[in-house]
Amino acid sequence: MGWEGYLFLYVVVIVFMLVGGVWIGTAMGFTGVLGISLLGGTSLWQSLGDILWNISNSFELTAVPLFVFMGEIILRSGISNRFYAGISQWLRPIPGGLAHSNIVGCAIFAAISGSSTATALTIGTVALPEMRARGYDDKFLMGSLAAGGCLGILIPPSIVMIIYGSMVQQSIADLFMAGVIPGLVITLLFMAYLLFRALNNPRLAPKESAETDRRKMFIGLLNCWPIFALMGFVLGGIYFGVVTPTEAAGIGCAAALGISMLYREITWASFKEAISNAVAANCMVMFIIVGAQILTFAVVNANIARELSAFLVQSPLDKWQFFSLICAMYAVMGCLIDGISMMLLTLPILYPTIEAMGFNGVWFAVVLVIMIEFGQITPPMGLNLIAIHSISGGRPLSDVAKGALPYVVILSIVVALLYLFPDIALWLPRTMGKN
Amino acid sequence: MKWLRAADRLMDRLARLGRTVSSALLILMVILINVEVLGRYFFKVSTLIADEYSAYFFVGCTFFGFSYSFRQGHFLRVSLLTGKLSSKAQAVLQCSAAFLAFGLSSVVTYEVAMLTLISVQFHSVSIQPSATPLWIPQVIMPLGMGALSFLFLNEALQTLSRLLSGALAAQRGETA
Repeated sequence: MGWEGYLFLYVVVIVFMLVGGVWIGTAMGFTGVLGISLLGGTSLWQSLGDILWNISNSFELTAVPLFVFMGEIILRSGISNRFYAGISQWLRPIPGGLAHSNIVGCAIFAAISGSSTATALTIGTVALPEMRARGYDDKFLMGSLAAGGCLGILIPPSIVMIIYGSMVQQSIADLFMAGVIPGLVITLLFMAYLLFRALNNPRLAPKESAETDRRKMFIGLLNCWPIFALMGFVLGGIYFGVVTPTEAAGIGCAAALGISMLYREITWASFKEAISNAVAANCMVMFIIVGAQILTFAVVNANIARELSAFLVQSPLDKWQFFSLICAMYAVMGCLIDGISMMLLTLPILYPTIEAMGFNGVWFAVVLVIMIEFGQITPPMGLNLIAIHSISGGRPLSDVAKGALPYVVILSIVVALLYLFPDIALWLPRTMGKN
Repeated sequence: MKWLRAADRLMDRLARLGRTVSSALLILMVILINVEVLGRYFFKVSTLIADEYSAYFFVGCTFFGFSYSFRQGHFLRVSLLTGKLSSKAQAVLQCSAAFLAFGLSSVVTYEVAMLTLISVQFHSVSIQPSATPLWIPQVIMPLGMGALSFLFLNEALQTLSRLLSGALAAQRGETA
């Protein structure tokens, strides 16, 4: 059987198992074992031990449970509510009012907590009743909450970036820095959209009091400092080469614990819950990564990645057409499967082609993460939509999806901008370590 | 069935034990990394083992935690289409998926056990200054994967039992 036959077989088997409700990690691992068995009987099975050892004995991936743990501590310490209240004091005078706080609050908090869905839920629980009482339009505010949360996986520290880096051997520090400017650009575009809508249709967002209470603003700033300090601590350390991303995660855990104890808001029970959730989330990701590594081994042994890459490079597709095709594929997949699984399923097959087509691996990570964000706010599998829907008090999911639709368009525009101006992502990693 | 219920309780204990060990290893990871960074920048000394042992702790945190993560329902699956099926069809698919996962994890458990055995036989040690015998961190893998295999088998048998008892009840209903 040629590489085309193996590719067809792998895709059919995986799709069949995923549709049948097999766990994603098992589906990938089983397809991998089936593939290597067809290639060399059971003789290649002994490589499974090495595959598991090499992927799990990884200092880079150690950052995953550490960042999740840091985020869990922050989520359970009540800092999110203080942060949201603090940021609201500063953003409420802008037309669109508290909806801007949803975008900025969710984006920054999701970045530091590592979970966009948990952030959307945590901030949404506070923001929804408050904003409804003030007369904000439901679709307008639910869209801003869902969209704000999804930014967290692009703005570092990003778990998706760590996994991507370990899969394709790219520097995680470079990947983190590459996400900063696109993350800021998207945040500003989201806010610009809110401003435009609020100015055009004042019924969407009631005008907040223009008077500024300096005392309240000062208290607001005090409430924001833990998050900004933690973010500056982690990102600054990585940017200036003081610590590796894994070390930054370890120090971040200790710092988050310190801040929570300072506010006296973490209990022994919430600490235990934080650590249990970190363990469970890490294992969920690692189970898929283990399956993906077995599949990658089968893909490499069947020469699929190399042959597909040669085939597509020689095909009449130009770079833009290929790029559009990839984005369309991720947009469709994102509607059906979660982001990390989508990335791990496609990278082994597509990454060599991406490189052969002349795309930069760090730049592609940013595009891929934006496509994952895209999936988080598109139905039916958009996790952020589902999270906001669950606390919306019975509003239909379609209302949340309609509210988030303009943000999907903005994300598409940013992907096109990244294609035209790759330096949006690549400039900051280039300057890293030069200071 | 009594023995199935007992097996289920045993799996609960196994998962809780996995969570406790994984949590302890995660805390050790945090302590080790902080000691390394603080020592390096304030006292100009290094533990020389922080990278290596953090990765070993990560192996432990991952493999011992698999059973807990699975038991808590954290392993992802696409339920978009299966969710629309009848409960019986869902149970059939769930049972098949669990048996499939049991088969795969058993093969993987055997292979990681073989890797550990080879490390013991050849006295393999790490290339880091600690020269740690590799079988010590490697033995975590068959233990963790083995526990996960039992959980998959338990899941398959529990689902099969529910399926059969449901089918039997339906049959009894028809006869009556």
